[in-house]
Amino acid sequence: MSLRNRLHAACGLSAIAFVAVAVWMAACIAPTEQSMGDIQRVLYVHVSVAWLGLCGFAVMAVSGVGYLLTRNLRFDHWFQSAGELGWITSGLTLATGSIWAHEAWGTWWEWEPRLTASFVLWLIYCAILLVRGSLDDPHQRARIGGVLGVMGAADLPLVMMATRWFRGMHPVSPQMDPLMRWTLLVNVLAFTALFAWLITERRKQLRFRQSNDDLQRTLIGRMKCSHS
Amino acid sequence: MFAFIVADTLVIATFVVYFARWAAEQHRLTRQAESLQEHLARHEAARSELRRAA
Repeated sequence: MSLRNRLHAACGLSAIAFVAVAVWMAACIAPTEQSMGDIQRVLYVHVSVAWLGLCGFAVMAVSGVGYLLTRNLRFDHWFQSAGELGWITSGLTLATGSIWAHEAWGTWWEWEPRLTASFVLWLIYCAILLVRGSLDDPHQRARIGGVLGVMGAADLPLVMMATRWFRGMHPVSPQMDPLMRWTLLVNVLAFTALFAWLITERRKQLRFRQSNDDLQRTLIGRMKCSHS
Repeated sequence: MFAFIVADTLVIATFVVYFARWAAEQHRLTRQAESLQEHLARHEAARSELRRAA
């Protein structure tokens, strides 16, 4: 194992340990909220994955612009890895939010502005990944993905500002105990570290896949040459 | 507390499944790269053998 690979593995293990500490803080250290009780603890993981869903899309949009300007497929590897993980965390935002809403509001889902904008973001992720998955040519895939990523980024301010621009049921930055605030910060940072590590590893894997494809093409070309 | 455990388990299990899929794909790509390198080396050896015979 090279030094670089060891460093990557150490980063991954540190991120996992950081997440374990964050979950322990959310379960055991953070005080119980007076009006909602233990269900409020869902907020720590919910806010973390919601943040990552937005970060994933921002990375996608930036790397989409990078590809459109340079036509370099390295940007597309960032696009794909951020898209996959962003789609997953965006889906987890809806799922953890529903679990919280079922206990706090007595319903799994409400068509209120923040929830609707978040659902639309998840649908945009689905659409981009589906369209990309149906294209074989890597440059066509990167070009169409880049354009859709930049267009879809218009939903990001809507998701972030929905609670301020429109009247809805979703809580808006409630007053918190300092220990709760710290727990939330640790959770957001820990899940961000894990997300960043997974994106980096996935991007490396996509580059590896591309080099395998190039090698395969070289081999097929040489075999054709020797046969003719 | 049950809802919190369900939510956290869901999130962590999803990341674990994603990592497992990543590891399986990495293993497949490593084997594919080894096989391609081997094919390429064998092909090069056969070509130089032919050249020498000619």
